Amino acid sequence: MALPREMRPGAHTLNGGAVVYNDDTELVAALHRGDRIARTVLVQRYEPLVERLVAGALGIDSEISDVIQDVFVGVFEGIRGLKDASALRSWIATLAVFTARGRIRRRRRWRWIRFLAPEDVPEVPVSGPQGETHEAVRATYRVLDMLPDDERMAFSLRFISEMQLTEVAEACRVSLATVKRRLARAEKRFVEAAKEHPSLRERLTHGGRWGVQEEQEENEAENEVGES
Amino acid sequence: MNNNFESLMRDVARAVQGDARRRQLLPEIQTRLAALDEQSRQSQRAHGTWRLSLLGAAACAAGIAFFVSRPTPLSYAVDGAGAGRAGAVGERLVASSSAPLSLRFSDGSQVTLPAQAEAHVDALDAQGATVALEEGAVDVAVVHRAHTRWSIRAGRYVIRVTGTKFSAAWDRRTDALTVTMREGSVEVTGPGMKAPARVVGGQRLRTNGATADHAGDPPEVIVEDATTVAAREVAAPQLPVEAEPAAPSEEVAAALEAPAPADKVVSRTRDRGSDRRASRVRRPVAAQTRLAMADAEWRGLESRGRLKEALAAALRDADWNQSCQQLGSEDVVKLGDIARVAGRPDLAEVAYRRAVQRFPGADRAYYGIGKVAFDQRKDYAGAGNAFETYVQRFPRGPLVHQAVGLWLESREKAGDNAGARHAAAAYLRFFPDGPKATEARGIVSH
Repeated sequence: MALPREMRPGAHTLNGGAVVYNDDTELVAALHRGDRIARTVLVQRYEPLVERLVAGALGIDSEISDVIQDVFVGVFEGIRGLKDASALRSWIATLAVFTARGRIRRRRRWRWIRFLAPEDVPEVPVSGPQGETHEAVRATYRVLDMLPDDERMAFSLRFISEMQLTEVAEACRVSLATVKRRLARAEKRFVEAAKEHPSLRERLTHGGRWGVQEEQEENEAENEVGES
Repeated sequence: MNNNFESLMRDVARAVQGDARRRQLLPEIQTRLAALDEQSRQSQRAHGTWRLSLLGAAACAAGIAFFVSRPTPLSYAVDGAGAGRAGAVGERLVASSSAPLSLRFSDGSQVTLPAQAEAHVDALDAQGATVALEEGAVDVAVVHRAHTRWSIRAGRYVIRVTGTKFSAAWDRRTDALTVTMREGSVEVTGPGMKAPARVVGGQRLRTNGATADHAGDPPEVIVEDATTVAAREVAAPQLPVEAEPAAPSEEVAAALEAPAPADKVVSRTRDRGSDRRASRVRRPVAAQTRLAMADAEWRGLESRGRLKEALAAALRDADWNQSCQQLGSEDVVKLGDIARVAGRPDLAEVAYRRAVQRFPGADRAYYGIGKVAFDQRKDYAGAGNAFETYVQRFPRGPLVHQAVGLWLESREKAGDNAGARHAAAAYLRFFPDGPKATEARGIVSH
């Protein structure tokens, strides 16, 4: 007779009878057994990570939930092939990176087929920040659209999703040296292209309106206000 | 890599991650994956006999329907004097005279009782809750979902909500209700009202059931837009004003001669007394017109992202303190944001602190105080305190991710090792996989 689920190896009962898994080894073992609760736990545990990586890669985008769903479908399909449970986190991160990159490439192809410049593509209305931040975010992703996919992914993982260099290398399945090269190129291209966008140019030249203010900027603002 | 680039990237990251969090994707993803799982099971069953497959598909469909429609009543926790305890239906909830009481619901919605307000949760179900206001005011932020069904009762009035932010104040003695909308819309029903009154973002509804009862007529229900509200309040201030308004400028003096646009009074449920009300709104009061004009101008500039000009407009014709005292929560915080990014931390602090005093549920004001201290004052101890307060008071706030990260960063920059460990532990509780998780673990283990 099968044991009750909370008595199976690796399973622990919390308040309310919910079954959780203390670490990834227990979780992966349960997934290998086909435990459906383990799937729920996996999604709860790793959705924030996947969301951070996908959102960083795509920006404020109505398709983020589709991409996250694709990532977890990939995880469930491939979990039986994962032998080392300690690699679960980095494996999921890799799947997220490659799924997001695939989505970006597909869009790029469609855009080319439709003969539209990035700024001509109609925007899907989504919620998000307003005013200057909104403009800076839009401009940032327009510039990122111009970067090669691999450089864009390295850039977004490092600077927007705030991953460590080694984590970026692991997620992209390349060496640390390669990641550093991609980042250096991407940053140079980004800063160069950002000069064409007033909202980014101002930010990069005079400092962050939303971030660290330089004294000069403060004085300028005060003068402007005074003159008005 | 310079500070400007880092700052830009940090802001982009916050905007993007904040947007994803606001959309609360996890429940949607879980539902979609569950549906896919069921579909997969269906297709596996298709290998059996046709009859069995049909039965299997029906069972799967029923399973999906059950999963999707399974009613799970909301629950709520009470934050305040006895912090973090679970609340119960019917429990009397009274905010003390010194601190607000926050009710955090399991669907992410939040109801805040300012000092001395009293309420109880009347009912909880899978779609929402009914909160009964016994005395004072409530500040409400309901998270919109499919089939959301929330309502606030105040005496004989009922405010029906889908997803929105607003404040409601009710005076038991006079039966006067005021609903001030910040976002979204609500419908208000009450004594003598033949049809629900719809109030949308930026509007305020005022009605008085007792007067109607006494007169034996349907009650007067006035819905005004924000400009009219600001103008009326300056004309007949009900709250203490810190500074007297400045003398009117020439433009304002000229404007005083012109009647206010008739659409300032948006709608009312009956016509009786309209002339009296219209004349009250059109009364040529200098400060009234001044604030209304400045109000309209800075809003327009702000919406176009011209923040320095918006600040100048806000300052030009209206006293900053007065604006912060008279406008609604969202607007006061917005003024703070405008001043902060335009490089006027002094004005930003006035706005944020006034918002905190007047609207205990204004989470962004606490965050703004921290940002001014961190980015502009370089007062990392003060910033740490502000972000810590944000995290403790609004653990489900939309900016909690940024706040807990900046709390940690502030403590580190202030050289406060014990504080940094405390912040790092909090960070890990909130975001065990967050971008600073590795760093936080290192701090906690030292």
